[in-house]
Amino acid sequence: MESGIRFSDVSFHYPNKTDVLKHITLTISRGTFVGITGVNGSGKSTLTYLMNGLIPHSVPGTHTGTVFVDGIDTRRKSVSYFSQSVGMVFQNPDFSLFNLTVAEEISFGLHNLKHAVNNKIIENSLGLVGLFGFETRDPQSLSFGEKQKVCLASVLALDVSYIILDEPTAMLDYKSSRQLYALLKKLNTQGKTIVVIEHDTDFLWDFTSETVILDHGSIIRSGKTKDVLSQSTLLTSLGIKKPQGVRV
Amino acid sequence: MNLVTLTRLKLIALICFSTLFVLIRNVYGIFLIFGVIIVLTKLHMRRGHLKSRITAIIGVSAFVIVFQLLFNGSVAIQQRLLIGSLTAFRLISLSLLVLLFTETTSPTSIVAVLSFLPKNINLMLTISFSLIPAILQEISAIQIAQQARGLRKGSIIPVLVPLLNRTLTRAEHIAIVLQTRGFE
Repeated sequence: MESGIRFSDVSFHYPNKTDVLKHITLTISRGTFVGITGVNGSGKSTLTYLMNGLIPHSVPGTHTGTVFVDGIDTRRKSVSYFSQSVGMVFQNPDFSLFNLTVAEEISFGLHNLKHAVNNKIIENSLGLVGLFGFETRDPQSLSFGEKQKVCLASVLALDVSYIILDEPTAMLDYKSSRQLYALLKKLNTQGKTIVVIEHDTDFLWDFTSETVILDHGSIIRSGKTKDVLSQSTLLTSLGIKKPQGVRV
Repeated sequence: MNLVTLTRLKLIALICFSTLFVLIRNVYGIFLIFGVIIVLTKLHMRRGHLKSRITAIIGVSAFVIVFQLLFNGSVAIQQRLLIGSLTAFRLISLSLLVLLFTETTSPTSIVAVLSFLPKNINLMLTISFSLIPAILQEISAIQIAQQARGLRKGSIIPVLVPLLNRTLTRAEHIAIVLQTRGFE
């Protein structure tokens, strides 16, 4: 059976707007750690919405081409179906938390997907992100970084194969960002496929195995991170920060 | 007694008290219950909260009395004043009762008590309860941003449009997040 996430000539535009994604053909193999970078408005977040069926099922717009998750066309199954294998951490955790306690937040997905719900799973997933003991806290009372970690813990509890994160370090300090990437790397070595949208190419350089550069909805480069991010002239022309490894 | 049972009892008491207060016709009875509610709220609540709730409801109560005086032409003026005042007392008392209940009960317990409701309605309640503090924070953030750009303090109307916009955006986003976590 085919595994991984495969885009086959995918284009998409929101209602009354020009194409956000143009003829995207890309394969994200299982077990890889993929970074997606590009300037604002290049289509990075939209690309991730295609990876679990949010497009075309929930986000309005016109979509051509096909996206396969483990060989299944995302148009043929619901978002809920794909949530069993694809977990998503959105950019703004303020908009992603809606339960009254952290424990309820973690168990929400478990209930929906009919997984066993027990304290051990909740404690383990919170422990992984460094929030052990936060079970009874109100998610709205946490700091932004803590909220982001609760969102990640909610996905980890579901034990999904693919974890997609949209700019997870946007509101985190440097130390927390590195800790988060170290955790993602660890999950990756345990077999999870990680896809992360990131502006800071230093994190991509240090942690990811593959990188995709998007610009105006098209893939400009994709491949091994070290190869893609070594092209300093290209990065400069696209307005993307060069990683320190290349600058030195 | 566990927390959920206690909350269930409080909820039943709230419903009984409110119904009694609406049905009762005896003037002394209304004053008596009003007095009991005032004492209970003063015992259990912070002064600031009580004051802000009373301030908010006083305007509505005054409007009810004035409305009775001006438009209930079928009875004598003293009777209109009495009807208006009793309605105002009822409004204040019911408002304080609900405030007393919400102040002394955690949202988690309220949702737990209402868990017999259908899944969708329960989720709706949970989201509503959880977003109250978030929306209050939102109001404060919008006000600060507007005041920093010269808007007079206390202006409510300019806050409404951005608040509505953000709340709708948040609602749309939550709908998407729900699906990504397996909710159908």
